[in-house]
Amino acid sequence: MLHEVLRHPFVTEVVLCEPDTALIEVGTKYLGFSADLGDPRVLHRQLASEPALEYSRKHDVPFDLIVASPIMPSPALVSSGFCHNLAACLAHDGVCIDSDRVVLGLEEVRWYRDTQSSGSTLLRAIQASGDFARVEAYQTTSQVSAGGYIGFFLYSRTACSYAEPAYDFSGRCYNAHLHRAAFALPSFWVGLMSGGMHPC
Amino acid sequence: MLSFESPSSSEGHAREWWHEQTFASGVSQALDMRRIFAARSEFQEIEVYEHRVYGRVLVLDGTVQLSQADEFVYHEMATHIPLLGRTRQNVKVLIIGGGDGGILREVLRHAWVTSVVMVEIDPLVVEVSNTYIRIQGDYGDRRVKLLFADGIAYMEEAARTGQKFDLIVVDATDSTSPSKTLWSARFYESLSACLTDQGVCVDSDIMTWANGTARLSREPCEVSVFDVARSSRYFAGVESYFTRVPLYPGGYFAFFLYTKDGSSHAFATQNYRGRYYNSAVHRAAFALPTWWQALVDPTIHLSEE
Repeated sequence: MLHEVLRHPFVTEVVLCEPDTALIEVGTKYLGFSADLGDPRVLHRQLASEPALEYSRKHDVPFDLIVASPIMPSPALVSSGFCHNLAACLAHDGVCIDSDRVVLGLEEVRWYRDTQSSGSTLLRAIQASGDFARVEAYQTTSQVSAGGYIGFFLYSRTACSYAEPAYDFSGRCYNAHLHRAAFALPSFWVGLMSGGMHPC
Repeated sequence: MLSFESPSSSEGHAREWWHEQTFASGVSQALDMRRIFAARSEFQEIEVYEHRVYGRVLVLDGTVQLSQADEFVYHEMATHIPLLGRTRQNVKVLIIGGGDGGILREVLRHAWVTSVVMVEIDPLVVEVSNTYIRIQGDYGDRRVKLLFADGIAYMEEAARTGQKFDLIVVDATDSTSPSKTLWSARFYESLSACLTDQGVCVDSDIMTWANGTARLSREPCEVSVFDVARSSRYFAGVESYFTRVPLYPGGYFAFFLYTKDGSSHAFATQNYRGRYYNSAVHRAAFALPTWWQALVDPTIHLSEE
């Protein structure tokens, strides 16, 4: 994630909140990400998501982009207070990105995190909180992950849509066509976003 | 009632991990499911399993063909894109394989599809699918003719007698025994010979991109899709699109459209809404990753890592 973010020269500052330094060591040693951590724009803070948000709210707000890692925070921790803090850390026209997997079952179609907890997930808490004006969804494909689709959620305080690329950029996978196409969702997703869980 | 399990309720459930026997991409999957049927036909090993979330799962020669939960994704995307990507009337369809009935169910949704010939090599796949999977492909529909025969031999005979089709769906297994000889020069020649001038043939496979190389799970085969795309020997145009099928891991689920006149099917000519397919999804399916564009367009260069 850091590697991709740093491709853009207009990204001037990145705060990486990762409490587990062993993960960082693995990334540096085996996955070739050492150059990224050495980038002068990057600040690593050894904090988990909730203390990191608290700290950021006091010291470095606002952010234009907040990337919620797939395991942040644990479902049991998502409260309206957490969503409020997240919104407070975000610039007015900023965006927070979150993701989950679709489990396409025969009798139920659900987000993976909804199947793992009886508590509120970040998606459901954001939808209920009123701190964000828009939740926009898009999807992608991962070659090795089995069993479902990967969905991304964009939480923004303005009702801005991200479906149209503003810059011309082409990566090894990403391009402008793929950007727009990611927002074309299969028919069965309608119920997923609204919380309805039964396939049509 | 099938249901998801929360971590706390999984204790006490005896896991029965079944491991898929595909090695082409070095990626496979394991499913916790119970076998309810197994038989060996003249052509292949046929099994049916029961999975708590995906329902019944059809396995041929150790490879997952479909589950009741996700079969609609492949069947809708293989059918409605070639059918709706061009204005057509009185459409004659040929299905090569398709023994589970899913392609048949989807093509019959359009009243302007006037005849369907389905050529399946293995009668037992049809029987087992009808009994255990129940996808509801209607063999009783008066437009349908079901034949148990070899697909290539049928197409050669059709070409000899001047019979042509507007849509040919190649719905075969990727790499298991009955399909081993399918993607040959003889196959592409007979395919081309019984396709109408404005017709389209749809073919599909799992495509994996790794270390700068794209590979289909059926490879190595006598004639690769990429060879067909590069030469104009069999078809003037090969257009590709993709989707994602949950129980086909290890890559992108790629579709290839072969045409004699090089026409595009990238836009829906009429509105239709399935459980997966819709007009926006139709168009979006043709947006390819940059590495895939570079495979078909030599003017596109990939950045080095």
